[in-house]
Amino acid sequence: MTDLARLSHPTRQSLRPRDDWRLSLMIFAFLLAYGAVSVRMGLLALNDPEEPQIAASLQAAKPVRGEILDRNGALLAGNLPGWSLYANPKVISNPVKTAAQLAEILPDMAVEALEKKLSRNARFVWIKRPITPRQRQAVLELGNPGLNFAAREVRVYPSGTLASHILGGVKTEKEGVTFAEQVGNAGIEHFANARLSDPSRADQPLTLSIDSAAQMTLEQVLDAGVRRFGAKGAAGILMSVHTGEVVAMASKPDFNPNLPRQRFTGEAAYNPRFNRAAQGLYELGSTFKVITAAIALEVGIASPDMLIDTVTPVTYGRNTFKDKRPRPDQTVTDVVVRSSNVGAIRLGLGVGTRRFKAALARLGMFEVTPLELSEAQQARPRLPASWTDLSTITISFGHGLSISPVHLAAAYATLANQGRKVTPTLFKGGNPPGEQIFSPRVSSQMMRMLRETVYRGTALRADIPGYEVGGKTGTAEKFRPQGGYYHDRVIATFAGVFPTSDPAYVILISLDEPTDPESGKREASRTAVPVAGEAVRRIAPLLGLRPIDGAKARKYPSIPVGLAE
Amino acid sequence: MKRLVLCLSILSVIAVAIWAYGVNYRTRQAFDRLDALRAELSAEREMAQVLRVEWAWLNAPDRLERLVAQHNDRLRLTRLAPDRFGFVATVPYPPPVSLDERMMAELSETARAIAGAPPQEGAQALSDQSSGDADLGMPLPPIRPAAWSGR
Repeated sequence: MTDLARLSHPTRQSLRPRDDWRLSLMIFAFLLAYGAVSVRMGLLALNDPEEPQIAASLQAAKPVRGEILDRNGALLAGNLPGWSLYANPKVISNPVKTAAQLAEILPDMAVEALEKKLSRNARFVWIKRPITPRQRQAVLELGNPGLNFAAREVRVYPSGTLASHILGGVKTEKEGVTFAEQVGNAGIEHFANARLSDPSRADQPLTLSIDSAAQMTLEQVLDAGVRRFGAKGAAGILMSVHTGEVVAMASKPDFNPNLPRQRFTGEAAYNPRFNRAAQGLYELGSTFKVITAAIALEVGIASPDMLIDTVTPVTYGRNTFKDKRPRPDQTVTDVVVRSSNVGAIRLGLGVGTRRFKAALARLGMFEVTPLELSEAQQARPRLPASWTDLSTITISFGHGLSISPVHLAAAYATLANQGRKVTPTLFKGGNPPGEQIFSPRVSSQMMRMLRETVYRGTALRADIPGYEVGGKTGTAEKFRPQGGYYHDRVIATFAGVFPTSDPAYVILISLDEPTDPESGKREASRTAVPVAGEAVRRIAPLLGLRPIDGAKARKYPSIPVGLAE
Repeated sequence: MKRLVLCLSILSVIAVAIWAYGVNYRTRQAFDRLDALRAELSAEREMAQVLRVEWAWLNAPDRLERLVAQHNDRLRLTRLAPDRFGFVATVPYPPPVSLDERMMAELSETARAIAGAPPQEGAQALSDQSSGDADLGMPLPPIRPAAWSGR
């Protein structure tokens, strides 16, 4: 290029040295650039990576599994640093002595098993996981070089058995010296496992809709009910009407999620881990009549004051249905208040099988509930294989359709929430109300019927002054696995709403095989109803509900409690 | 000229090398410090985690209830029940404002001070006002001597 320029412009020969200078500058620049690149490449190849190590140390500081909080921020599930003990049998010189020492520190391990482990021909063997800080200190004091610890995060549930069925528990899936993977094995730990073990969200706690105080009170009341009525188990649900948030949900008997899963021999339905509230499918009996009546009102074939013939038995094919104690001149309200089977059947048949089924489907009675528990996702309602008019007859008074208590509580909440569908949830915040299933008019009429049932009907014992409890009892004979029903084993249920003038909460109490020790009766009015009443009496004030009825206070001295000495 | 440039460039190379050396070590120190801080952070986080769990354990509802049951002879706590709510309507009206003995003593003290001190503008205005009130026919509370109120 420069030569060509020189030839064409011979007069500019004086510029030549300057051209050389430019050339060498270019060479130098290129050398410098390539040199820099190659030096950098060499350095990269030879260097130990430094920053990734720092990143790793930052990783270790993060919690491995998200915490679970209740709606007020109280910790329900947290993590604690813990240790797993492992041994290198090759280094242990005296396995017999070491095993004896270890057995003293770890009282739940047999000496023989330890000896066997320590004399195994291996370089690595787990002794125990996890161990407590005190045990770790004791092992450290042994000073045996063959015993080592692996740091581990341990899942703890500080409140013990509180809300155990909701939380579930965790198990250790894969474990190595430097890592351990915890996987939820039940409840919300299982359902939200992906969310809880997601490292990017491990430092954000998961907030549930549960209120610890209400939950504990519900559990205590259920425990007392189980003891008093000799029940085999119990379930309770407290649900917010407007948002579908489950404020408390309990099932008895319960378990301690801190302990490893115990083997259970016996009928699965009596396993302490079995969640009766969300997982159990029961024919909930007369509590279903409320839904039948609401559908009849919504369809428009009945009004609360319409008279219904409950004296004449209903005959369908070979089956005849009649009330135990028929009463004349019953209105639709009385059918609910006095719990008349014949009345409910007439309402169900009046609605018609097709419309009845469609209404139940819209209420979500044939689908699993969207509650965020893996157990609830398995509880698919059992409905008749072929739905005939006979099915409509039995289901209208609550037999032939097995649903979980959560289903029923959600249906009552829908009825109470101005007829707009309520979707139950365990996460704080709740769900917005869904489609309008019942009209607000039907909703208020039903609230009135429920209130009358408590005020003058079968559920007198749940009438807690000031909270306008409304609800319906149900005593369903238990299904016999061989076919037919047990006559001396019942499920007693109370499903209610309070306060009925402005519904805030739905309460559902179900007792399995209760008997009233005083009268020997099994009816819900004597068993589930007083338990529900006690639950409302104790929980409603905790949730900040003030008694509505100002007249109540007049019975008490005029000095308010807060000001009295 | 050329030498000067050479010298200057050599000097600048030395200066830059010294600077780079310093920066290198400062960076390493910073990294070490970062590491230490992160370790500290991780220890603090772990401690916070332990304390959070401990706090939750100490405040577990059943534990609190057990403690209350143990010490209720002194705490005298009772369950929150529907009949434990007060109503504004049941709060008695406060007793009518009456002058108690201490207030009387203070008032008479003030009166004596006003009477003893040479009349001032403010006091004059005050006394004018009170005489105006008296003219309206509203009897003022009698001011008693301190000796009498002190019995």
